[in-house]
Amino acid sequence: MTIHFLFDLLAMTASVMVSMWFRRRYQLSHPAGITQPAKYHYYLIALLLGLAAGSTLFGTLNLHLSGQHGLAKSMTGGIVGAIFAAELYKYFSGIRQSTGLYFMPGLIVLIAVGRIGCFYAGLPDYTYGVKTALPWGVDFGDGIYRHPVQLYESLAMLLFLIFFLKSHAQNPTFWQQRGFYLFVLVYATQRFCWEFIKPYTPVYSQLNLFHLLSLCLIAYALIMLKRSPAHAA
Amino acid sequence: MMPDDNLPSPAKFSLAGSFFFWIFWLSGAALCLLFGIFLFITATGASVVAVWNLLIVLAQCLLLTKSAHYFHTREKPVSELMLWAAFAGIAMPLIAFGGCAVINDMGNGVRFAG
Repeated sequence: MTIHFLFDLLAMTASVMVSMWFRRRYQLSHPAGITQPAKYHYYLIALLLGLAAGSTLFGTLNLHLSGQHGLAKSMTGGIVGAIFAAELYKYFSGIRQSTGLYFMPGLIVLIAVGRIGCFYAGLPDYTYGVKTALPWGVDFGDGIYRHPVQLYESLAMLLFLIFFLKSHAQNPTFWQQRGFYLFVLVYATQRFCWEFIKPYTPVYSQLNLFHLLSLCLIAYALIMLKRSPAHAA
Repeated sequence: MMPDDNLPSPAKFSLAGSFFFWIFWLSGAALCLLFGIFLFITATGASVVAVWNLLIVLAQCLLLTKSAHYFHTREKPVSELMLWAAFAGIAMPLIAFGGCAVINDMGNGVRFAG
């Protein structure tokens, strides 16, 4: 598992560098709509609390639902928790516009690089896919060729990043108003698909916990995308 | 006129702000101690993990010391100091426990930062 936290470190370094580059290039000193330093600090604290709570709660819950004991973290759980905390904070502090673009490029890089760490960590990380006969199946050490689902997610995020960087230069207003919601929609949709080829125990019909969380994120993104033109005024 | 009258008066921190600052600060200190124990245990065997734990302890110590100093001198707003302490108490442990599965099996104890 040493390899995983080395990739975690690499992912965080890359994430910070991309965030800094993006913010400098497009002169984003704060998330949109948050101009007071104190509001910005409290917003970040809310994000941190939501991220940590969601990540640990849903990661551990999934582990236990799958019959394994221990403590785990989850990226989807973290995103759900952070969005919930951020929206709650925004509601009570009167912020009515999208603030997520500020964090989006860094988050995409964090997932894209971090998932490579999950891939190299192999079986102990419990993020691998189910058995496959496809030629790119990977043997993680137990003699079974499995879907490298971590790399699927990494690739999906990388493609979205390329699309975002190309498109943002042409239409920054669209990305400022709706970009984060579009990212959530893409992230949750691809994650929903990959969950069908993961070995997690279903909790409802054929859907596991992360299917349900992904559906929540898709619903959130669609609602916010529908509402976002009103915010533009 | 006293000489100090021309100096700006130190900022007053709210009771709630101070309370949450110390809650975050104490949780950061507790986790710093935990990683200090991890460092002590891993110092002889796994060198990469020991270096990782050392970095975590140093970073947490720096954040906690500086935030306590600024809290005492009132040089920075309490919201910013709360963020520093929250980073030390929440974000850093989240980062420090590398990987998605933090503890593989309770029977084997905590997997020391990866």
